Amino acid sequence: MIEQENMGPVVQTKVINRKMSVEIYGQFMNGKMVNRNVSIDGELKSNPFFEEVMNNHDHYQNLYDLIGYELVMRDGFAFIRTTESNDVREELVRTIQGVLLVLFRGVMELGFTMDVLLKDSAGLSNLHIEEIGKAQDKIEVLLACGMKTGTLLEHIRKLELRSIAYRNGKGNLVLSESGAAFFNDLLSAGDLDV
Amino acid sequence: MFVKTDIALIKMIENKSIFLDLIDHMDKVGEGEEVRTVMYEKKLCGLLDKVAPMPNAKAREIPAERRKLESALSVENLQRSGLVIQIDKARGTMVFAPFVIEMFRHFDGTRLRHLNSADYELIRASFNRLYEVFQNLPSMSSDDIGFKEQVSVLRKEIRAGVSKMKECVDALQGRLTHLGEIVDKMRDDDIDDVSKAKEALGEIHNIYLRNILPSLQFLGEHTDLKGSRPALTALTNIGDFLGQYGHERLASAVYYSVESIRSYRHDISIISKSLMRYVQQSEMHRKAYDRIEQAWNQLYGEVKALHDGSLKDNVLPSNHPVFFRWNTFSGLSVRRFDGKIEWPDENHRLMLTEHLRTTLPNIKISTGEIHQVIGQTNETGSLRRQRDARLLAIGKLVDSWEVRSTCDAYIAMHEHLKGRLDGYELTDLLMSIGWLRKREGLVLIPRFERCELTTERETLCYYKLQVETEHD
Repeated sequence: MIEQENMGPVVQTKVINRKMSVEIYGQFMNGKMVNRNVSIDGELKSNPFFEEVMNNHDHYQNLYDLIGYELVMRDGFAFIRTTESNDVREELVRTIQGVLLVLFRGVMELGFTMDVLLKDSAGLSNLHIEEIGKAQDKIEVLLACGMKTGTLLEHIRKLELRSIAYRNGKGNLVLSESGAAFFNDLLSAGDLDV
Repeated sequence: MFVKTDIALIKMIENKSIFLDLIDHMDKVGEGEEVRTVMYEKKLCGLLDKVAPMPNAKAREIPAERRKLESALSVENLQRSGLVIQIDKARGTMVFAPFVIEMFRHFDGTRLRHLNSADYELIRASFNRLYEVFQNLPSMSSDDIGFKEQVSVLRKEIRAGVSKMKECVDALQGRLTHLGEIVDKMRDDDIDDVSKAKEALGEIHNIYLRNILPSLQFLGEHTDLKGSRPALTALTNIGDFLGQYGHERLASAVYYSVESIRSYRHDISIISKSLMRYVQQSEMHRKAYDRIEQAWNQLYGEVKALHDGSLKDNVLPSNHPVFFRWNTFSGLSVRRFDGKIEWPDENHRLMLTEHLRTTLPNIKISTGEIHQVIGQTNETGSLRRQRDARLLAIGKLVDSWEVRSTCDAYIAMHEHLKGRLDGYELTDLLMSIGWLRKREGLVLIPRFERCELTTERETLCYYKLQVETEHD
């Protein structure tokens, strides 16, 4: 039998999980957000990839710094970006912001509060999204943002693909932490020059 | 048919729902104490139909219950019995006696009237006026009839002030509990719920501005008012003044009433604090609405500016400043990347290695000394010795096997070992083949012929090994 005596302080070494690192790399390079929480089978759970990035932030920051990206770690989500100007990249930003603003405006017009998009227990149903997408001003904005074909419901898929929004247990659309961050940026911005 | 006041009042109380609805409407519309006659009659008709519906159009078949109720609650009867004090046929309005409305308000705390700044101002002004009256009285003797009258007025005003404050606090608590429940129970994805909650938040906001803040101001004793003094200060001054002229008991009564009114400040403060959550929620909704409206107007304005009739591609350039106001997603990667590094999920050895690599450093490493406890056996060492002894025994048995040429070494070893080795298993057979390979004087030649060896409990699949002696 082995007995242990004089248990002293134990220093735990942080080790990057290679498997997770590979999957995180794939998500980041495909322009996906890694959010703090992720919906699994309709239930909101802590995202292990986000925990991995958060616990080994310095490692990952160095890693992406070496390959020419900046690891952006904000409250509740992470993604990588580059400062190099790129038309395709700017078009993507235009698309995402356009769809989000159309959604926000539509939610207000329907008489909801923004909580419908921000709370996992609520969410915006496809019926309401279709209703928003039918309005003429929304169609015009989507067109001007480069979305020449397809309905709002189809454009919403782009948000889901990039983990900016997800479907909750009821199948309704809810903004993830990264989507909510855009709304928070909108709130915290100074008065806009209209 | 004239119905007496007490009977009419009892009928009204028995059917209080329509009067409570009327009070709600009065508070909502803000038309003071006036009620539209048509609205009352319509509600009365609804009530009559509900209580005793008309069987057909003939008047003589009107049910007695309906007739009695209609007689008691008709506008004309209410006026005759003094429960309605005014009917304005030109404007189509009627006014209930104030005590009737107050009575119904007391039936439900949520409908009690809240004091607003005008009410508080009246109370404050009356206390200030009384202070000035006492100062200018020619005699402060308790026998003086003028002094007695003013003391009577003072008591009446204090009673009115205290009761109004109590009523106001009760009303606020009741109303806010009701409104708070509407907001808290709201389902965010139900438009009706959201609409009700928005109304409730709006009302809470109004109550905060029109009732709570004025009440806190009224109860504040250090408020600087031009040419006047706060209500409680005026009352305290009256008490001091009365004390100076030897009316200590009266002064004490005034001081007690000051303390009584002052105690409501605590209640109002608690209501105010609990209200702040809803006020902030309302503010957040308003702010969100404003910001989204601004952002949308700006974007939509730019989109409209594109429509110049030139039939060109009406797309905003991706580097347009309107998209650079927020940098939430700027620089986001768009590369479609198919991971060249694929994690070998199928390879369990690599999975285990990776698992050990990441978890082992986190296992607590002992810094203690290791020693064997006296009197205990080392189970691990014992097992190892047993295993080594068995291996040696198998080796000896293989050495004792008489070498001969055979087409299947497995069968030969199986036949040799099964009677000689205790607890023989097919794993022992595999060990024996290992020993056999090391034995000199024979050669094992693989034969690509798959065979099966079955015992009671185990089955071994193997490829035949042919044994050839060196003499062959």
